[in-house]
Amino acid sequence: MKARSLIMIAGAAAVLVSATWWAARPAPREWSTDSEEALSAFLAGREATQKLYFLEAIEHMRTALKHDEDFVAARLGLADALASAGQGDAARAERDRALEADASSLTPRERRGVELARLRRDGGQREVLALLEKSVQEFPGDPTLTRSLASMYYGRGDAEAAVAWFEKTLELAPNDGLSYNTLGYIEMGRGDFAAAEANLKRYAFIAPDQANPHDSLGELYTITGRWNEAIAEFRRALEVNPRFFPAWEHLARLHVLEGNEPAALEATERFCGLAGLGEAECEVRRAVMRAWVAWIRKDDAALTAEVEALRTAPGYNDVLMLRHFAALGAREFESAVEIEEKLEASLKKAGAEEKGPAQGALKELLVAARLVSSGDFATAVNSAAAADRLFNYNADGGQGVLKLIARALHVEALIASGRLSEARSVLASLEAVNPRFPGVNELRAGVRGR
Amino acid sequence: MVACLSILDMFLARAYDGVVLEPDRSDLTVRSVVSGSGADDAGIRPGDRISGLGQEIVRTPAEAARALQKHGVGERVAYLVERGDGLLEIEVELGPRRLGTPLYLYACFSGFLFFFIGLYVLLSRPDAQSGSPTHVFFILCTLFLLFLVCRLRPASYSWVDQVVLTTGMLSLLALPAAFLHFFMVFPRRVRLTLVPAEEHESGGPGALAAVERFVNGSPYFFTLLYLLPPVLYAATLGIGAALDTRVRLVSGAPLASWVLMGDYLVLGLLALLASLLRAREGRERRQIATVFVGTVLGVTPFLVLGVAFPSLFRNDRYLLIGVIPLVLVPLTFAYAIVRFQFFDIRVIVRRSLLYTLTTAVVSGTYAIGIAAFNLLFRDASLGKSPLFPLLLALAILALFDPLRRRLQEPVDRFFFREEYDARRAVEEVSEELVREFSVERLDGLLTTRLSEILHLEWATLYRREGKAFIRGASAIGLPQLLPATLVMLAEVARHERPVPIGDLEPLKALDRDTRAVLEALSAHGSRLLVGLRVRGELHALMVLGPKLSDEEYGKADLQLIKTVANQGAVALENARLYRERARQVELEKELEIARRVQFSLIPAQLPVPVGWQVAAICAPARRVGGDFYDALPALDHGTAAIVVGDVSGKSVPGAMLMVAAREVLQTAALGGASPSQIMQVANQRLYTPQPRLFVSLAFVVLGRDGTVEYALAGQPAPLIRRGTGRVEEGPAPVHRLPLGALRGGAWDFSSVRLEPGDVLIVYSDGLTEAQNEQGEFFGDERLMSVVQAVNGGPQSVVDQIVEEVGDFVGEAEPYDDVTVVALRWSGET
Repeated sequence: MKARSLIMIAGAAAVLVSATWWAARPAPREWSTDSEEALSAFLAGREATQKLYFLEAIEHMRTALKHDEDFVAARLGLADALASAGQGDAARAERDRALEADASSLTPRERRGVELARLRRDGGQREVLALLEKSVQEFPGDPTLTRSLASMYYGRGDAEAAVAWFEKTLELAPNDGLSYNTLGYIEMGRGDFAAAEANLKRYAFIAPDQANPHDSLGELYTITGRWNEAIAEFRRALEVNPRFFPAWEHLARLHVLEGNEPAALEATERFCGLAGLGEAECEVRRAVMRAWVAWIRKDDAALTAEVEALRTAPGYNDVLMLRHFAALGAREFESAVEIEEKLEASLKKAGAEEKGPAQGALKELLVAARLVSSGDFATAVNSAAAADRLFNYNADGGQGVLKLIARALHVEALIASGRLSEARSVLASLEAVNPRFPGVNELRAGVRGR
Repeated sequence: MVACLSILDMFLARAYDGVVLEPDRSDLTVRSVVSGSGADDAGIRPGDRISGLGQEIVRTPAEAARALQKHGVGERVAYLVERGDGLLEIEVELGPRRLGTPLYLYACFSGFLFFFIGLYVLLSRPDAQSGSPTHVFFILCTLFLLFLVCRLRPASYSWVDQVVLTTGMLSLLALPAAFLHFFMVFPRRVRLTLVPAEEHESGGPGALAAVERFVNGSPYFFTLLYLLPPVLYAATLGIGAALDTRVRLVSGAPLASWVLMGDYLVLGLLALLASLLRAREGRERRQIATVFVGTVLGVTPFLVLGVAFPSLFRNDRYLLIGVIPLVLVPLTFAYAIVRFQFFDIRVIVRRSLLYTLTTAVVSGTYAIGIAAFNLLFRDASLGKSPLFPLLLALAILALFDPLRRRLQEPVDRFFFREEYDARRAVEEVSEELVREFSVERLDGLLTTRLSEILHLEWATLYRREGKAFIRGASAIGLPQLLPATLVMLAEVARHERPVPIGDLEPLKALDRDTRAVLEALSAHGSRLLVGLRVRGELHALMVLGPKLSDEEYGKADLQLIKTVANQGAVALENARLYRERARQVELEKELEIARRVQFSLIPAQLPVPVGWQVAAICAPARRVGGDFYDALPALDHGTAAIVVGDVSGKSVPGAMLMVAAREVLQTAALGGASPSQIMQVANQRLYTPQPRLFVSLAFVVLGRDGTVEYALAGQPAPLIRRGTGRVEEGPAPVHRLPLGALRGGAWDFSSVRLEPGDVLIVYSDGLTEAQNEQGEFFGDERLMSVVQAVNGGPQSVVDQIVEEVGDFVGEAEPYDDVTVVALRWSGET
């Protein structure tokens, strides 16, 4: 064999060996544990957390720690799962224990997790946000970090950034239920009901044994007037988890919108039973339900009677609004103004910024209702429009229904002001969201000039 | 291998929902649903997009495949399906995999039919050069296989889909280029004519001529042909991405790519049509016509119903009707191959089976390799990359062919002795050539065996005979003889290798005869001229016609021809020498006879009058000489006439002239003529203008009293040795022209008188002109000395002279005949 051939073969062999060595080199370690069982349990726990199976996640994380008790990532995961499952004290204990870990034995990713946990405990929101933004740059493939950042933005009311980071999270982890759930609510609040439905359905699909996504879908359908589907989803939620009491409350409110008092009261009873409420509190809820049904039926006498029963009830928004509406029904405008001022005072006391736009919107709604009742339609138009604008569609906290009430008032004020064209337009937007909303038929008649 | 992988994947038993995905989309859009499958029963429809599978959100076929693998046959699995604006949750019962439809099976069958025909043609021509129709045909067939198996494959979720569909897409981009390429070189290169020839010569329009030159002659033309579709594809998508505009894809490729590919197909058919119209020879016409009809009937329905309908109108109801006629293409090729006897068909089945087996073994080896790779890279960075399967597939593709080739060689050697037929045939021819000494039979052997080995239409041999090369019996229609002075023959003689006739085109301008011969050879379809040379000299010229396959001669062909030609040249030379030797032996026999005849004509005893003693010798330089001596009939009583002659020329011609001269002299003497008259008559009879023949003659008349009269016609004057020992030269007559030199002439006689004891020595000039090894002549002086020294009777004189001359000449080849006649006058009366 010629020397040239030998050199070529040797060269090719060298290239082949180098390439094989390069390709077969071990990937950098992401997690510090040497235990395969611990790592496997930890990853399963993360997957469970993504799907909001917090109890399962807790089990997995504990299993991981049983195999390797120094596995810091698992301990932090356990702390998160415990916190999400409402076991705050245990969560804090695990977190503090994780923070005691020797940083030198941790991987960079774990060190960052420890830093974040410490900042969450000791620092402010801004510092946490800054570190999260830095972290997602350094660990761009970690969905836990991107989801945390998205949640931070969501909590700060920056829906755009939140959506972007939740979507990024879903790119990295397409089965992240938490992201679908939150995105569903964000889209619902923005009025993009189709997107909200898709996200919530995906959430329901990946977590079929969870009641929460079905309940969320029920809320969405309640807002959008798809009440039969809403009832089915609430019932599905209760099938999946018969102890999921929020579904009963949401079902009661849906029946209120339908004007079905017995069904609303039955659902309230089930809610009270499952939620473990006392008789007094339960009675308040029953009275609230009856009062709303009366308001929807425009039965002022019944409304006044039910509100009377709520005289000693705590100042929930529901109760305040019902008192206000009862005052208007009795044409006691001064009482109505008092309630408005009381609400404003409570707003100032709490700090409007911290409470978000909802309280301000509520005041505008009450003012608009009073102005319509008192015949000051021109001013009522502005207040109703402001209330509509300030509320979002988010079902969480009942804002969506209030937004639709504000829009209905807006239409009413426009009709009364003779601005029928504008009234038709606003009514169309109301019907587009929920064609079955109470009072829509009367408004339709009104815009037709009857 | 990719095709086999695809088919294997289609029919592997595993859980499957019955969903067939759109092959050209990265998401999970449903193209169709297998009838009776779980998805069909559950109501999944074409156009739906699968969003989730078994509690997992899935976005790609790979993710769906992973999700599906977690479930078994009979399990009910939740599907999240996007339909219109909504999302549906549907439960699907998984069944066994039933993706391989009869249509797909048929497409696979057609694909492999293409492939095996292409493979067979390729293996039948292992020495075909790159770019030859054989190679392009194989590439075309392979692309057809990949297209039919990979492109028409119903796509499911498996990773195999990605590899197979990508291969199918690449094959789709390359297929029209290969199609056009093949029909541009089949059966021979189609030439594009944009500019008339006369305009070419006059410089012509530049751009068109440049295009024409590029298409017809540039090696980069076909490279461009293949590069254009992928470049256009990539450029369209690249520009779309750069401008952030969505490029509309039709069945996975931009419309521009489809237009280009359609153009290629149409141009390919036009090229084939052009070949059909230009074909002159009937067999070739039928061959092209068969392929043309098969291609048009096979490809057109497929393009319309199998490609355009599903791609443009999303209608695949007629796909089967479009695909079925496609089989006409390989079948017509196969028909053309068998019908026109391009190849020996008898081993095709055996070969196909063995190659399939080899491929299966190699595939199995690679499957084990893949498993090992997966194991090796499981925890490595590369193993986690989504590109890993693709890279692995590419690596397998890259390694597959070299390994297959490596294995193929021993398989060939072991199973297919036919592969080595040519080599063995050459060995056989060598043996036959060594045994054969007949030039005529060698002619037939060379041309016939070479035609058999290389599957030639014809071959013929021109053998040099003097100043011309004479054609053998074969290849009627070619010139019967070629002048040896042709420039083209010198050019062929200059080359050791076979010369393509096209290479001799420039010689047409040099020599009108060469031009005529080359045109005659070209018109007859000659392809190669092969010189059979010995020591650089052209002994024969072999002219080879086209191969039965119409392929060009490959490198191995040329090497084989060169080997046979070299052996043939040696064999022809040997045969020629053998024939010459045989002829020489024959001639020698004839010479021996002639010598005997000649000697029988030379009298053993010369009659002399009383008182005279005579001794004579005639020693020819060759076996048969031109010298002679004779006694003529007596002129007067008591006298005798002796002639000593030397004719021009030696050997047989000289001997014949000698016989003629002797006869003439005898005849003239019998008529009673005087010596002068005899000389004149003989002169007249021997005179011929062409060729000039003449006879030197000494005419000696012995008197009764010791007187000697003699005439000399070109012969040297006789010597007289007196009894005292003195030697003197006899007086020379005035007229001494040889007989036959001129039409007329007169010879006078000199007279000397001898004393008793004197000896007269008459001799031919061969005596004094005898040369020794140093080239020295024996000469007059040496003769005089010898004669002076001799003693005894005439015989003794003759013997001593001949002995002396013999000693002088030594080992040197005798130059001329030597004749000596010694006459001694004793004085007795």
